[in-house]
Amino acid sequence: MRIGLEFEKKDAAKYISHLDLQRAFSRAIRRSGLPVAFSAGFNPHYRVSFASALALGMESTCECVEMAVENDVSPDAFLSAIGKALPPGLYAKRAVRLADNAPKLMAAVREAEYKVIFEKAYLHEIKSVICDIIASREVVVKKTSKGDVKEIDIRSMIIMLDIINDECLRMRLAAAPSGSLKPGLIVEEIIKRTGNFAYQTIRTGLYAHAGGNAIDLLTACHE
Amino acid sequence: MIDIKKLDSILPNVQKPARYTGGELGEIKKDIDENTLRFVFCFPDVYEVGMSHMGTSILYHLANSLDGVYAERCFSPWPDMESALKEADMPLFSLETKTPLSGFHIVGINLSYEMCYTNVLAMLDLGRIPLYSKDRDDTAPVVIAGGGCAYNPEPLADFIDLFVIGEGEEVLPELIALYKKSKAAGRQAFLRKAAGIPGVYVPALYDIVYKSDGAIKEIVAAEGAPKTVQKRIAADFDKSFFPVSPIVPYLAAVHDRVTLEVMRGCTRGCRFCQAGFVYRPVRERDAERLIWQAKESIKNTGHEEVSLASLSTGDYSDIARLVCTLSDDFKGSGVSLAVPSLRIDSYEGEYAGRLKQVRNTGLTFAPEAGTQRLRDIINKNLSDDDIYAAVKDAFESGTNGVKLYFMMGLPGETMDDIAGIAEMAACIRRIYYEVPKVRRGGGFRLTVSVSCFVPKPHTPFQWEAQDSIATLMEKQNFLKNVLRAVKGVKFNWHDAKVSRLEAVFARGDRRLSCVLVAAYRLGCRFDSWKEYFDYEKWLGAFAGADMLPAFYADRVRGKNEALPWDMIGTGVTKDYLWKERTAAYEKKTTPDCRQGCTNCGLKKAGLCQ
Repeated sequence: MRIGLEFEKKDAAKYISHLDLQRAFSRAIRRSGLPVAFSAGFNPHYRVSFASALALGMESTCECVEMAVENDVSPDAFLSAIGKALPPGLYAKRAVRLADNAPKLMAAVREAEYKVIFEKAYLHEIKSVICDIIASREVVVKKTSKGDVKEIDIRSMIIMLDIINDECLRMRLAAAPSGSLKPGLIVEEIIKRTGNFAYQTIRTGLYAHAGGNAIDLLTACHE
Repeated sequence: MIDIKKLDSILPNVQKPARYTGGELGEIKKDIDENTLRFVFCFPDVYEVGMSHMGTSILYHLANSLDGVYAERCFSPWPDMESALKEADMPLFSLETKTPLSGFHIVGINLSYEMCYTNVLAMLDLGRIPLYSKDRDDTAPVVIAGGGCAYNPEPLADFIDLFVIGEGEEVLPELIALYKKSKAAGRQAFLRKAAGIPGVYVPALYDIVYKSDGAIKEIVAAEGAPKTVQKRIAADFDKSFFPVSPIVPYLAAVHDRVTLEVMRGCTRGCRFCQAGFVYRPVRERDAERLIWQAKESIKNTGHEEVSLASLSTGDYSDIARLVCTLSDDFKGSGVSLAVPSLRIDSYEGEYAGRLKQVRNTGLTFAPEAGTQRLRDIINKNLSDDDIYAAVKDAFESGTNGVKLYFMMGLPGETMDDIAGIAEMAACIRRIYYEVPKVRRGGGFRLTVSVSCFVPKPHTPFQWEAQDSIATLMEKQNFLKNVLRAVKGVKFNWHDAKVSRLEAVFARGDRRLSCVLVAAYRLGCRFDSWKEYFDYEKWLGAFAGADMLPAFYADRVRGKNEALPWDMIGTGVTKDYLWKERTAAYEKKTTPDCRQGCTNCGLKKAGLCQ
């Protein structure tokens, strides 16, 4: 049986790297006493896998992880036990039993939503830049990978881009195993056109696709 | 408190920001009022190293168990963070409350190795505390230090207000109580009173008089300061404080596990080993207590490994029961057991097999010297047969990797002894191939690591000269060549230049303070890290201060010469050390003192039963 868990990653915990997050979960599981299954092999590890890696330093209200459990545990009991065991900054929100035929969360995820909080003074310019972006057929940005600078068109990976309550930027971006877009690339592109402003990005949602619609990831994989 | 917003703006731009955030599981949080005594433990190396240090962990939780005391932590900022702090004009701060170091009452620095001294200066400077003790007024923190290097405190004497000599479990609470009582009377009054606490050395109260040749003529203690500061030991090690809810770092520490202290001290008496002399006598912790501590710590931390630490864990009298009980208790929980620092002759098949059940670890042994003759000189009572029998046993049970540790530059060493290291490697390889293929692990791997001998204070070799860099490098090259003939061997060696500086500061005096400041100003930091060690800068610092490293490293000291650390007493007498030195030159070994007292002086000092 697999349990899917949604958790927040905040405060000092936002600086936990992806690798260290796996270790933090292993320890929390051991402290919780939950019957999470071990991997086979020479150095057994808990079977834990995350839906999508989060950039170091970014907060999130919606990280998802799945764990294989050996005995039947109710999602509520799981949520309560893991919630008590997680270190400061990692807060368990929701636990669900995953359907046996559902793919792994990391294979199911298609989109991610982010909230970008920025300096108010830039509201007007940012509004006008995102209108331009939405109206464009292509948005070419420079991306550095392994030391090479490549020009890529990110337009097709921008699913939604808008401003909520004149306060923050909301963006829905592709986050599939086949290709995902880092929110920083778009913000940097906006900055290029508006001038430098301070901002903070928070991940607020992970989504799968079903029947042509984007559905909350855990809901989509729920039993 | 520093500006948190500003901190948040620099953290995304430095490597591993989790080094500077604090807030981990197990961190102590307390309310602070005007009566709180605020203490900060400073570890002069990066977070991952400092968080692996058991002594700091013990004292942090011990100090926080005291009423009205809040102890926090601070580690050396990595060079990128040091630059970022300077650029943002931010002082170095504690992890718990983000308070600048200058805002504490007491700053306690751990001194684990000589090559951290420039980091000590960097921490004080970045923490906005005057570097020199004499420049601090009543508003500055009292800067105290302890740890292994405090057994020769002199190179740091000008920077540290007081040193704690020996184990801190009782001295620290006494010092804190005294500070609370006499705070109003000011820094000088406190330091003079502190000098009266056994185990406390206040360097400003000692005057060092030199002869014209540069050697020390005499050490004059001010009135009220003891002529010899005798080290302290915990009154009852078995029952002494041990934290079972240690802090669990967010990022991987060097020793990322539960570490239990099974024993303090070592009775073997290896003549090069400072720890073996200064941490006497041997004291063990009760096996039942250790088993409870292991379970409790795993429950509280969720770590996946328990390590049984001490100078020589194989000598622990109840080792078989301890290892078997723990491995049974943790079976199926994914928790493994590690037993470092096993001496080869205490390594027995009985529990070696049990260790393997939990996790297959390679074998690590420290013969230290390549021939019996040289092992007799250094009193490493270990024969070739012991080594080969243990290695054969290990190969038979499926181990394929062996690590061997040696030293070069030992007193009385010749090239034959160096060649002996290669012969031993070749012999171990032969033993591996003699084991039937079905039983041995696949792929022979032997790692030979050779460090450079550094003569240390309070050992029988404290009077010796160190080999020159050229000689050490010649020996390294020779060994590299002869080892080339042995397939499957990986050869590691230490940088002789680092070892030379270690030799200078290990046995240095307080005239070296200007060299340390010069090196610090030239940018020396993290000198124990290969990527940052810069010997040329150090040579510049010595030249600028008009000091010669050779005076400290290359010179054989006379029997009657006053040594810079003569005011520090470990309980082992100087006569005993000289007798051991004489025995070394006669190639006579001294047995383990558990087989009969060797009269090292500890008993007379009331430190050993």
